[in-house]
Formats: sequence, C-alpha cells, structure tokens
Amino acid sequence: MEQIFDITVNDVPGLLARVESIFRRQRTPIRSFFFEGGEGRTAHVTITAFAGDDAANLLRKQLMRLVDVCDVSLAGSDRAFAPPESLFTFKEKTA
Amino acid sequence: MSARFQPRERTRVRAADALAAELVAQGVTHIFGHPGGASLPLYDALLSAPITHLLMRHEQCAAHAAQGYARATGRPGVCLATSGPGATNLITGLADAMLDSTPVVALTAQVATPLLGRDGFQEADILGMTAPVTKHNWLVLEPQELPGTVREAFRLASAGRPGPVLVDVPRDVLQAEIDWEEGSFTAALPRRADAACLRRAAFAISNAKRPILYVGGGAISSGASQEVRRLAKKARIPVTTTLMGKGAYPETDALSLGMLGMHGTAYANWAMNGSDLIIAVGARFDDRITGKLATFAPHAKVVHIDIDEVEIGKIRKADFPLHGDARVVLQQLLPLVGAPDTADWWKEIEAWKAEAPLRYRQEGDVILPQFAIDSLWKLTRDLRPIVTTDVGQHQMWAAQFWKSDEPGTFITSGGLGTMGFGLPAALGAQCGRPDRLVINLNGDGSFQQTMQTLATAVEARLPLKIIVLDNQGLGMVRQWQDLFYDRRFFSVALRNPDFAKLAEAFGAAGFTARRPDELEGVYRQALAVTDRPALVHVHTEPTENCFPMWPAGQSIDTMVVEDPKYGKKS
Repeated sequence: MEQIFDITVNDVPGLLARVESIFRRQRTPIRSFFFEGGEGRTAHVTITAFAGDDAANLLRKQLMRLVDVCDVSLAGSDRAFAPPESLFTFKEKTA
Repeated sequence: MSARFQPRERTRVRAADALAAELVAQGVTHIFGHPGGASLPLYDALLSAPITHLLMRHEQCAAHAAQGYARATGRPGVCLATSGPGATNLITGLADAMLDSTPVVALTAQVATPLLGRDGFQEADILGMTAPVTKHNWLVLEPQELPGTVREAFRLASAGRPGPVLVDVPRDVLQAEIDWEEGSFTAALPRRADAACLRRAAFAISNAKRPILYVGGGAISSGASQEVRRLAKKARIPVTTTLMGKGAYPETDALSLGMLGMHGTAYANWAMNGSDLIIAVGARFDDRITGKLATFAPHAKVVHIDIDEVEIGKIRKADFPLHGDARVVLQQLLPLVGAPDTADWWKEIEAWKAEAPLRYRQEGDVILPQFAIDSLWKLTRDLRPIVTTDVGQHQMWAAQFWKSDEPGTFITSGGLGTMGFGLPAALGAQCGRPDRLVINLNGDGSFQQTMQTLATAVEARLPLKIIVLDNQGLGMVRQWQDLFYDRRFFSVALRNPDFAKLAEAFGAAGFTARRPDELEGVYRQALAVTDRPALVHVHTEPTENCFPMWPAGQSIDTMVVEDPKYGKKS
C-alpha cells in the first residue's frame, strides 16, 4: 500500500542520501519525493513509497535514528498529498 | 605538556591543538592510528598531549583496537587515519563497531578545503562511504565548529545504543586559528519504559511456566548485568546469552545455559524453542539465533527490552515491548515481578543438560582445539582474564568452552564476523585495562589477516598472550564444504609459517605445542612473560568440526548435537 512519510529534517549536506539509503536497504522504492527548504535550518521532506504497515513503521523508526531527522509522521494511504510547490505530479488518491 | 596545550580559559589556538585538548577533556588516554600527509597538523598537536598514540600497521587494526579498548573499558575508543586510503581502511572496523554497537570515535583528516571535490591527491568521500556504517558523521568545514563537533561525537557514540561516529577534518581546518574554551555536554537521562507496558510484562513473567532470559550485548553496554542476575535469581529463570552477551550473566552459575544459537548449547536452543515466554534483554533475534524464523520458539510470547526502538518487533513480534535502557527498565521491572513456578521447567532443562552436554574427546597425540581452549580457561580462570577472539571455528569453540563470568571480558566480532579482529582488539583491551591479563584466541587464517599488529604490541611492550590454534586451514569454511558441499574442499588449505619463529622475528616471545601433554607447560611459559607479547603456536587436529550446529536458515530441529563420528545425532 502507498505510505506517505512526512519528515522534518535539519537541512544539511548529505541528508537526502542518508534518508534515501534507509529506503534502499529495506528495498522500498521511493515513488515520489518532495523537498521544501526554508530560510532557517529546518526543511520538510515528503516521500511516498509502497510498503506494508509493518515495513513502513520500521522505516519510520529507522529514519528517526538519523541525527538530522527531527520528526517523522506516517500518513496512511487514505491521505492524498500534493504540495503545490512540487515539481512532480502527485497522483490523487483513489480508493 | 606545552603551553599551547593548556588553555582553560577562552584563548586563541590552532584548531588541531583544540582538538587534542578536547580529546583529553573527553578522557581519552589512547589513540590508535596511522599518520599521513593530511593528518600531520593533528599529529603535531598530539605530540604535546598526554595521550598515548599506538602506531598501528594498518588502519583496520586501528579501528579494531579502538573497539577492543571500548569493549574492555566501556568508554569510546578512538582511531585516527589520514585522508584517502587511510580513511577507507577504517571502514571494516567501523562496520564491525556498528553491528556490535561499540562506541568508537574515528577521526579522519581530509584534503584541504579548496581541493574538496576536485579529486585531489588522497581525497576520498569518506562521509559518503561511512554513512551506512556510522551512527553519524561530520565534515568540519568551519574551524570554529571543530571542538563542539568533537564533543558531540563523543556524546553521540555513547548515547542510547552505542556505535561508531566519524569526524572528517580538512587539513587547512586543522591548521586554522580559533577561539577555544573547554566545554562540556550533559548526558541525557537513560530512557525509562512505559509504566503500563511494564505492568503487563511483569504479570506475564510472574505467570509464565517456561520462561527464559535471552540476554544480548545490549545488557553489557547498558551495564545491566547486576539487574539481569537479580531478575534471574528472584524468578529462577534460566539464562542464555548471545555471543555478544557472554559475560552479562556468569556462565559458571547454575541458572546459566551458556550461549544459544547455531553453535550454542543444545539445551539452550531447546529451552528457547520450548519456552512460553522469552525475556529478551538487549538482544536482536539475529538469524544465527533463530534459524528458520517460522519455526522458532512457536509457543513463546516475547518481552523485548531494548534501547533501540528499531530492534523491537523487527524480526520477532514483541508482545510486551519495553523501549528503554536495559538497566533502568530492569530496575523498574524487578519490584513488579513475582516468582513463577518453574520447577517442572527446570526438571526438563536438567534432563536436556544431561542428554547433550558440551563435550569433546581428547584422545591420541593430536591436540583438539576444544581441549586447547578448555585447558587455558581452567589454567587462567582465577586470574579473571579478558579474552578476545577472532572469527571462525576457534571463535565458536571459545564461545562454548570459555566460561565468561564478568561483562566486558569476552570480546569478539559478533555481527559482522570480521576475520582479523582479535589481535588488534586484544591490543586495545590491554591498553585500556593494563591491570588485567589479556588473551587473544586466534586461528591460523584470521591471525594472518592482522598479524602485523604484533609489531605495535612489541613496541608498546604489551604482555598480550596470543594463542594461534593452527589447523592448517580456514576451518569454518572447510566445515561448510564438508557438511554442505559434498566434501568438495577448495581454497581452504593454508600453508602456514612457523608462528613461534614469526613472533620472535617481531620481537615477541614464541612457543610451540604439538602434543596434548605439552600444552600446560607451554601455556605456563607464555604466562610468565611480562615484558612483551607471547605467542603460542598450537598445532591442532585439522579435520575437527564444530558442533552443535544447524544449517543456516534451517529450523533448530535440524541441529546436529555432536560430531557424528562420536556416534550421536539429534
């Protein structure tokens, strides 16, 4: 099922590689990705990926281990998320 | 000590000197490293610092030595390498430390900032390479941020689940002048478990019929040994430990079942599989413990205590998850736990112990490796030695026959299984614990991966005891070819040097034992050497296999309890 990870991070070089590697090691392909940096140090990352609930929860916990990840919330497939600033086109969720 | 090394008030210093001062402030007594061009400013600063630098002959050895120091002392070990190949050579040791949750601070020098990303001489993207094998890593580009980064590195290495961190510092950053003042960090309070979860877990323990304590390395790193002992005694629960957990509970105690897992005792595995409640303390249900997961401990509920939330439920569902520091959680749990009735359970376990004890038959003129290890343990147990092992058959025999009664005294490469770990780890342990006898149990294959460490040990006049069990081959690989590849032996035979003469060539003492009746005398001679390392070359039976064993990925039911040549299978 499609999972949406809302991740608050410290915007430091190398951060995205660390986040991506968590998904790679769990063999969970990232289907879409949105990054929004602010003026301060904090940035926001939204990732959608196909994973079961257990796998998604493991990914969430592993992301939380990263020093520069401040928070991860997991929204289930019932939530459509398409940040207007995104360069990518997000699918609207269907049942 | 030079004047520039003594700043206590805010003062202007070279960043490399501030880094050295930070290391001293963090309590660093030893650094294991190898210098190079980019790290020269730091070496210049270290010359004035009250820190002993051990000149390792390969950076992998430096990382393993830092691990040995950390595991023997409980404090972070520090390794140091120059840019490029020096730094990349650390990676195996960092990966090993990551899997075994060992606090290590790796310092690497980097090419000067104008050359970063320009493929300069000895430039490597060590941050990118070590990101998966460290808790965190930093590239320090602002000289002023160096002391604070080092402070944070030490804090993070020991915080929560311990592990390795790396600080990469360009050469020009090391040479820059900065304002420095001694700082400190406040360690976070250890995490406590949720009270409601605790009550449920305590109720489950108090009412279990066939409980078992399954204790891993996390119990040692959190300092929970006393609490494990109190819980086991209070509730009369059998205790089995993982390879990394050896020493967390005294293995000579009646409640101990020894190590479980692929080469663990049969009765520990049977007890685990037959239990109705597993109390996992700082253990992670590794595949070498569970075998085929679908058939592992099918009737057991699980209480899982771990500081790392990722581990809880990762492999085996936790019915009673207790996320927190193992020592603190056990302290919370102890008053809530009653004593379950385990009398029938113990009768069953005692029958298993009688049915399948760990044993070997030393007959004839060829030394069995089990006998060599068992004899040394009996000879030295009153001296409370710290033992390090390398990886392979000898490691598993050591896990079986070397009874560890004290945390931090059995140091081995558990998760990564790194050949070459043992000797440098012993060197690090001896540096950290000069008051203790340190013994390295090694194999002929693994010894030759990092044997150049002997040179460093001789220079430092460390009285290490190195036991090389020489079966003329890569025994564990040979065993798998024997059992699972139709005895098609390939690339496992080793034509070895005379290790005693080799030791003498390095400046160490060398001894040889070829017959069982020579062993004790040779061991005694080696133990009498106090001013340099002593190596004992033990010629052992080359075809001996390590049992009990079950095939990787198979059910514990497939375990072969004893060498079939002894006429017993299970």
